[in-house]
Amino acid sequence: MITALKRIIKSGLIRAWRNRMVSVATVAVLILTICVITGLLFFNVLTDVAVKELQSKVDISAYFNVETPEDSILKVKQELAGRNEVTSIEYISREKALESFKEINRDNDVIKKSLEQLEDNPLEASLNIKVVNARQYAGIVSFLESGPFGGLIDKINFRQKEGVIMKLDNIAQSVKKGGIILSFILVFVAILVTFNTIRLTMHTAKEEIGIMRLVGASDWFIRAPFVVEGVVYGAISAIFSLGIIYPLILFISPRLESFLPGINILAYFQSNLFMLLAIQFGVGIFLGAASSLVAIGKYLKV
Amino acid sequence: MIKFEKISKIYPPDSVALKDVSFTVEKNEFCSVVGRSGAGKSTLLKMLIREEDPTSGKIFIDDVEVTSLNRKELPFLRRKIGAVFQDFKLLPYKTVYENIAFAMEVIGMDEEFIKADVPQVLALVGLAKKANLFPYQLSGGEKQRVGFARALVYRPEILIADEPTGNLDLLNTLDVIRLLLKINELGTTVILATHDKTVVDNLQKRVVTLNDGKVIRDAKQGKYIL
Repeated sequence: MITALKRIIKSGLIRAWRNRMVSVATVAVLILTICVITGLLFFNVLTDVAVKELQSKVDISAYFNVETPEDSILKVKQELAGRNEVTSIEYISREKALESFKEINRDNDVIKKSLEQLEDNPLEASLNIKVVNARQYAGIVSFLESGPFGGLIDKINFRQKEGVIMKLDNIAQSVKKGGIILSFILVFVAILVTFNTIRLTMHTAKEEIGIMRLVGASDWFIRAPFVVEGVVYGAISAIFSLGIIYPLILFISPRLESFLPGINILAYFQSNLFMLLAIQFGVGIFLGAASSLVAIGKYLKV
Repeated sequence: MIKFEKISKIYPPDSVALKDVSFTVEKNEFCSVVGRSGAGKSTLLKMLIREEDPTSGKIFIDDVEVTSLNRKELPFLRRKIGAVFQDFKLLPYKTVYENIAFAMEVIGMDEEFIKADVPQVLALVGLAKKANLFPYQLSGGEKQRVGFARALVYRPEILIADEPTGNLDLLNTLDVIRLLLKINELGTTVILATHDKTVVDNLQKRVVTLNDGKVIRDAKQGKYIL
């Protein structure tokens, strides 16, 4: 058994080497496939981060009537915090609101003077709310407006923002959906091209397989070296793909980060290196071996 | 003993290659099957190793009905029969040595044994110095000798040779005939399909003549007569 295994592996390696002109073409196509799949993986991570980043910029503020006591507002805050979809709530008291208003308008003399003339703080306390998904804002708004706290609330800035929020959400959803569909199509095409290339490579072996059968070789003794050959193609392609992708990421990552802050694909690459390697080797070896196996089956009928 | 029993082969729709062919080849016999191109000689030999199946009829080797073996049993049948082909059927990406070694690896022979045996067989067919060449680097005669070496290396009980001299010049042809006779003398049953009159007349062995898919003559020490 061990002797047979040794013979099979040796035979597969020798075939891949002697057949190297064809091997180069196969490996090139496999590299392309692996790079496309890795690239799509990055693209999906990237859009995910970008969409999250975009969504985190969206929030709504609920303004409470001036006379609402702080206790009641904190009660509302507590109530909201209990809801699953809420990711963060910030309470901005009237004093704090005034402070930041002054800070923002410190160079505006007209506003400064007007404020000085007022005896009381005209600004309302507010709760700044963020949720997981922009579509959930409508639910929060109706909870606040028609719930037991309806009377405390003066206004919610959702209505002004609604259009923008929905548009943003739509864009996010489309990017995600489009990314996934595009990925599927590209992966499908890449796999098809790889399979076909390996099939053509194995077609050159049609005569060989017939001869092996006539000499009395069993099916697996014929098949196995071709599968080994496929595995070799896959492994070599994975190594080369890594050699292409890593420098590319080193080059792109800082540029992308300056353009889209908060996105660091180099860090993602480094922290997920083993998973990525597993995917690349997995894809390469699986495609190589499976295509060989299927392609050879056809010629084993002698 | 090899027995062909009422073998017919019809290629669809109605091209008859063999019709009711019956004859027996005894153990250690040397039997030539002759006839014009298209007489059905090759088809008959191919059936013996089940490269082709008859439309009707049975083939036996000793008590085994070859025609009823399933796919999984075929390799074992083929390992008993050495085959030499007109188009040599050598593995293009393997060297001369590896081509012969492959036939031994297939039956699970030890590496040591292979290393000792292959050079001997190569010496027997006069190719000791060409062990590391690839088939495309050899002449037709040399390729045919590799074919013989491969067929002989696992000491088959039966050797079938389908037009082995078809691509060779006279000198190489005579070499091949000598080799075939030697193999037969060493105890192997030989079935030779040929349309080469010189070969058949020189052999002075049994001749089964096929014409239009039928046996028209079976002579003990025959000649090529059509």
